[in-house]
Amino acid sequence: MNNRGRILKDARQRSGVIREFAMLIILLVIVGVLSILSPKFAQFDNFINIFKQTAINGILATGMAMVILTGGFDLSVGSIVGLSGVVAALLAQGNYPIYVPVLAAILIGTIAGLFNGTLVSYFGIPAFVVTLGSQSIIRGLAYVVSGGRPVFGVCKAYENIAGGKLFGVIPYLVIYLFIIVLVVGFVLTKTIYGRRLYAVGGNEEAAKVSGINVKAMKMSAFMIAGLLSGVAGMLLTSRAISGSPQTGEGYELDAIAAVVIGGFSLSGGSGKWYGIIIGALILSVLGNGLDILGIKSFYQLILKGTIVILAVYLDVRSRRKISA
Amino acid sequence: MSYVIDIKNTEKETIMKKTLTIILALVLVFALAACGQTKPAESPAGTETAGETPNFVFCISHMSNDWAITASDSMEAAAEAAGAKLTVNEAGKDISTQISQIESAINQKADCIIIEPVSADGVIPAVEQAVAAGIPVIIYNQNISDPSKATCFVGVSNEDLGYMEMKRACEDIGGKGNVAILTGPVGSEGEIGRSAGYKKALQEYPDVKVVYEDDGQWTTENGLKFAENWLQTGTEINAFVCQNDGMAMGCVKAVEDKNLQDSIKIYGLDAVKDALQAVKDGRLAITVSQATEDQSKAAIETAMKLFKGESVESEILAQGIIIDASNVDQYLK
Repeated sequence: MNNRGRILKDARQRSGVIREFAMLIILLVIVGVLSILSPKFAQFDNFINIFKQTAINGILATGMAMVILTGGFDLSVGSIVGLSGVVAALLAQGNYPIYVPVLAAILIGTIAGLFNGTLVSYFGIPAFVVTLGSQSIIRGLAYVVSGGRPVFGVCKAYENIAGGKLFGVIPYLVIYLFIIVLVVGFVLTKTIYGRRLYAVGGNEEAAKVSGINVKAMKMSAFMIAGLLSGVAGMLLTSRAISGSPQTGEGYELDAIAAVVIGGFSLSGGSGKWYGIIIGALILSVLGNGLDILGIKSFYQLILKGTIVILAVYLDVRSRRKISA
Repeated sequence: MSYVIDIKNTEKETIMKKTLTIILALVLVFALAACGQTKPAESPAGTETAGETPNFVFCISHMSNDWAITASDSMEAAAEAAGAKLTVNEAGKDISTQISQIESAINQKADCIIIEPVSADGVIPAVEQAVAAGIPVIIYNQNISDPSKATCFVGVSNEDLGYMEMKRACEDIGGKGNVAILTGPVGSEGEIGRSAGYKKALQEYPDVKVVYEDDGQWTTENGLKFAENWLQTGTEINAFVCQNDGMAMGCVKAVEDKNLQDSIKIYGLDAVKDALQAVKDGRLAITVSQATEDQSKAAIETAMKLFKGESVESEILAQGIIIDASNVDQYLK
């Protein structure tokens, strides 16, 4: 029994490694092909540009990964981006110190996550239904708060949050992404909390029996996703120097795509933190590369969908191998 | 009429009976309409006593952007100035909602229904119903696929707006050079018209080359992203021409980030507040106003004429206005 368990674990780890490898290889192949097709692609400037364009989706995907790890998912993150974005933009007109809009966005995101998490964990409503509902509620709030109009006129200091560059080279946006991913990576691999997240998604019953408060864990995952969506909303309005209540429509799907491509299983319990960034990078490298080649964005949609299906297929196949 | 109301009050429970009520009400309306069908415009005026407040209904497709809110605000202001009562119904971009709103306006015997359609085709059956019921219908801003079904169209031609914008861009870069284009969602009414206008203008300037063109979905974030990526290629771009101001503002940001504002001009359309400010600050070359206030005023004037039983033209177009540094102060309130 013990022996069989170990073999199973080994097999799972091995196939996991192959999967992560597969996605890294796919990323490198895409980068290679694009470098050959366009001399403008493989330039330091452009790589900075790509990381900048990865940041928002990367941050959203990081939060989404927490929820997916516990076996749920969150369709409301795009709406949270919209609401926290317009509220931050309204507070960033120069009337308040700069930390006010930032904290407001983070707070809104966290409260939204608390709302989702409570309904899923303590009221037993499926995550799909809860977050589908809150997607609509939060989007509605964004329209109400802004009166439906985009919010312009954010102050220079606020613009600088995402628009500034470290040493005039590395955009702050990229630095935020790396800090967030590294912190989450640390939490997932080095802390009890992280191990419990995996345990909850891997086998809920076993986790419960071993004394983990499964409900609280699930709720906290939604709160992290909400918090990071608030951060993303704030950064996006700083980057686009305007907040629109429509902002973030469909972003939840890009975030889920990045997480799935990055090797997380939608059934929960498996996935490595660095997979998130690989998944998000694959999406933005494709977008950037095809723009540079002057290929219409319609083709990006086709490629994106294909890669998502391919990634899940690899996941399903590796699972089947284990059970065989 | 009281019979219908009685049914409604006493037999609420079953859906069947509710449906029957609605059908009955519709039959009644149609019966009434059949009497006045020969002179649809006059029938409401005939039943009202002179000097009574006309009752107009404005069905707008959505209220989720700056333009839509300007449209609805200016419509309300124009109605108030004309001494008419105006009800605004917002459909949330959903065609079935808009159809039910038009149907209830028919039931309430509105004196005129002004429709900014969600869908160029989908709204037609409801328009036919209203006209058949003797209620004049004004299509506002975006025309329907068969304009003859409605009483008249009040709006502005997207093709003209696009033509004005692109022509100005071509002139400004000296009739020669490279332009990058950001369009609205491909296949949307606004995109089709504005792209046609772009094409018309570009035919007059064969030396202007379109080096990039993509669907920016009307959003600032997309404008920013495309402009960043295109500028990255090092291809010479003399002008960014965008089908709305939001995307143009994204281009402004990307161009300024690269410090290229002296060599690249950016063109927007819609004249939203932020774009007007950008024109004033010299960051945006021009924006084109679709004169929404004028359109609203014209729509209410037309509705008043119809209410009084006067005849109107089938197409009333407001003129687009190019706003540049020379006249921006007039529009920046």
